[in-house]
Amino acid sequence: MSQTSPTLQLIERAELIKQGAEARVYKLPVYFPEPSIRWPSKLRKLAEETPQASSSTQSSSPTPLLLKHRFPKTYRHPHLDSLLTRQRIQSESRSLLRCLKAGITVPLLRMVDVEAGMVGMEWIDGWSVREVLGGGAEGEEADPELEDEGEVDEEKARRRKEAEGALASLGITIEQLMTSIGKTLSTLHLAQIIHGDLTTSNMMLRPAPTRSAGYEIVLIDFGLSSHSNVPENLAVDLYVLERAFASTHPTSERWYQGVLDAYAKGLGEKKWALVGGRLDEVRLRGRKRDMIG
Amino acid sequence: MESYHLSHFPVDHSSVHLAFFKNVTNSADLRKRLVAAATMEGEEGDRERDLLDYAFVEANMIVDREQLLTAIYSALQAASSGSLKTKTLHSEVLLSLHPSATPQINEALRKFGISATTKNLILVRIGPPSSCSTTSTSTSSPPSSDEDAKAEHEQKLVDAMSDLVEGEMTSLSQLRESDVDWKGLKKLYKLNEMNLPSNAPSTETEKDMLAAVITSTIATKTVAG
Amino acid sequence: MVTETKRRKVAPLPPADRPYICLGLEGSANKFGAGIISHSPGLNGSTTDVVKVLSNVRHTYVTPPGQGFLPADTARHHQQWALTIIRKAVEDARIEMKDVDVVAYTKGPGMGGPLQSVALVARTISMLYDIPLVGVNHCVGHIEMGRHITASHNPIILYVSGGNTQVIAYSQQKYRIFGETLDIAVGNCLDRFARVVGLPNDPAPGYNIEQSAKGGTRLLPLPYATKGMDISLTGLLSATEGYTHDKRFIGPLASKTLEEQQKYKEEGEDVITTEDLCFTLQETAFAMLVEITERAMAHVGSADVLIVGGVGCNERLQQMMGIMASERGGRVFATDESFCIDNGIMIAQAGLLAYRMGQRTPIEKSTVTQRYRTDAVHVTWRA
Repeated sequence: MSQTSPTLQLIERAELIKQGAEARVYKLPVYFPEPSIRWPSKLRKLAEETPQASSSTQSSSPTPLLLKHRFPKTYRHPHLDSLLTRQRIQSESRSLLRCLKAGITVPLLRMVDVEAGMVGMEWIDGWSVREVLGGGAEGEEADPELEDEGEVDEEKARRRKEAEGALASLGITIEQLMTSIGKTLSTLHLAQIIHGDLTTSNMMLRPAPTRSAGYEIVLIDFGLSSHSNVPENLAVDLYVLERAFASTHPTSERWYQGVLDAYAKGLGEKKWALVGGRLDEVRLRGRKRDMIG
Repeated sequence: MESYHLSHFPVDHSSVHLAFFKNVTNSADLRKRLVAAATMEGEEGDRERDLLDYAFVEANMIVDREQLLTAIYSALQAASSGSLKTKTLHSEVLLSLHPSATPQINEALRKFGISATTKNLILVRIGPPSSCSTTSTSTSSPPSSDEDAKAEHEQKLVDAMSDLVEGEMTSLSQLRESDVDWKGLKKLYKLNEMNLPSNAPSTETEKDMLAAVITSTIATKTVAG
Repeated sequence: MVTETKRRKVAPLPPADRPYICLGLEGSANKFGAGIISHSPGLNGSTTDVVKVLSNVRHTYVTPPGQGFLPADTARHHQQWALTIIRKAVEDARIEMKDVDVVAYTKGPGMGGPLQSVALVARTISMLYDIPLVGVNHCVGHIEMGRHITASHNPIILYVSGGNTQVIAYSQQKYRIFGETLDIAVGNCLDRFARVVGLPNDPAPGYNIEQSAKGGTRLLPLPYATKGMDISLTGLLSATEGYTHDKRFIGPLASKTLEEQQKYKEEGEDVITTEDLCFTLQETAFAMLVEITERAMAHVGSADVLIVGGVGCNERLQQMMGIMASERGGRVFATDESFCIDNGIMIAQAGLLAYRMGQRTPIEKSTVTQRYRTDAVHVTWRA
């Protein structure tokens, strides 16, 4: 039955954007199709006589929807698979809602279908911070280029160029971007939300003309998120990001420090003392870990 | 009236029709008819129930199309997976609007259904795209006549709606500008815990934020904890 | 239009101008291995070197069921077997000691005592035959051997062994650790559980878990802890151990009479067997490994996976990884047990690459280090 479920049929009209680790991500151009609009016969006659009466019939322009399909992972046991899919859809939905309530910019939710493994959410028009910083791409500062680049098609090249020019086009510096990230993360943690998979791929930079800064940071991919206020959990969340920065943008230590500074400021002195101390311990644990062959 | 055709749902409920009425004057009467129709017997009862076969939604509890369409989508989803919690799709829509994961239908009706004092009202009809399409599943008719049948059906429906409700049919884009009960919504959807000024929403941005949470709450109800 | 630009950078390693031979010695855990490899100039003027495994000999210290290997005993084992194994490696290779250009040994990471024993042997040979030394990172040895055997040029690497669990990707002359275990290694987790249920250490506890798991029929709930690209395994281990104290636990099904087995099956009795627990442990732990590997692939944008390390021999893990990779349009590379289990040849391969880039380890600096992170090595031979 789930094969023909209406939700899954949406995929047929959508464009595959990427296959992440968790799910396939699609862009559905239109969620609800443009409606046909009719007026009662008696009003219609009136409208024909006075054309302006029908001018307020405009419906809102159709916005695209992001479909996130957690398709069955056949490598793992079906019981485990459906359990994990359910859990992650649950964590993601709950955390996104919690974020929205806390005023943290995340995609808003339009549809959840656990049976189909599908979540429909707001389409974010922007670039991932990883793209913007040139992680995994060619650049003079950071060049974690995988040697074997292979074919690069023009669309990808165009997007890459656009992403790398995003900071310049928005008139912001890397330092400002890092500060915004740190600030966003402190708000997230103050709302007691642990992201669970903080990487530069999971943060987006979106132009926001209505904001004074002209842009906003949008956090995405909350599948591994949880609800906690324990310093240890906050510290591990940061440590995951720290490692992602170090491995994706190897020359980025200075940048990451900017994130941390803004985070500390946002969190407040008292709380930062707890989390920062814990972060030092977590780092130490990582390096001290037995590495017996 | 706006008609949405959702071809990925079974044909019997692949069309959604919405109409928004302002300054409604016969709400008390409509409510009485609804109550009476439920127990009315015989052919007369069937005819009356047919005439009143809509979800009657208190429009002051609706902030925008997205909120309503999201609830409708949830109801359709429940119908196609066989997990309807109420007797009809129309009552399921009211249930879906309620933020509680396990709402009582009476409570949902009280918050989102028509009351004797309802001034702004939305009618929702979910059904086949045209009256004949359920019976004639043959592919003999050319597509143009299908479109004609749809148009004819929609026109009949919108006329029936305007005959039923005494009020001004208005575009749903006007919802926000009408008398949205923000206070009631904030309480019901637990929006007071948001970090907003107490007199909010006073700006469009605040309204957008509240609307986003309302829509997201409805969308995630099945996995709410 | 697609622009066909293969932007593979030129590796700094020059083509071999003559045959090079390296003896590699490994003993960071309970295996002592010696292997000899040669790099020769390509045939008919090709710039691609010919790499040949001349010999690969190993002896494993096997402890009785229920017991792990202790550093002092393991060091003693290596001391006892070193000469025999090295002699056999030289004989198998049909060379003489004087043909060897460089002796490579495991500098770390690993257990202190065993590492020291092997370093001592390496130093002795170096001085006796006047052959230069190169100290090698054990993990880099696994990676370089895996890359060579499978010819996977630039994969995401899952390194899984008794002491390590890491997801690695290469960039800018380092093997960078994207994800790893936050507590115990997956091999350690499996070994410890094997001891709990009394599975033999011969040939390896992990191998016996794999065999037992084939008889498992039910998947029991266990904690599943992936944190970004990291995982945690202690909770999983203690929960699996917990099931052995469950009233329903009846030990190995294989040890029951046929009548009893029939009875469990027909009456659908609610029992938990050792096989079920091995199955559950493997399914859950491996699902976590595949998941973090996939996350790294998605993050870096790489399609291929290379599995190295002792646990990499596990066919169920290889199968699961293969399904995941094919769903992403990629491939999985794994080696057989002669290369994925600790061996001398991998140390020889990584050591010879470093040697050809001019690297030497002077005797006075030929120390060992128990903790030696994969990302601490400067990979001079790659672009």
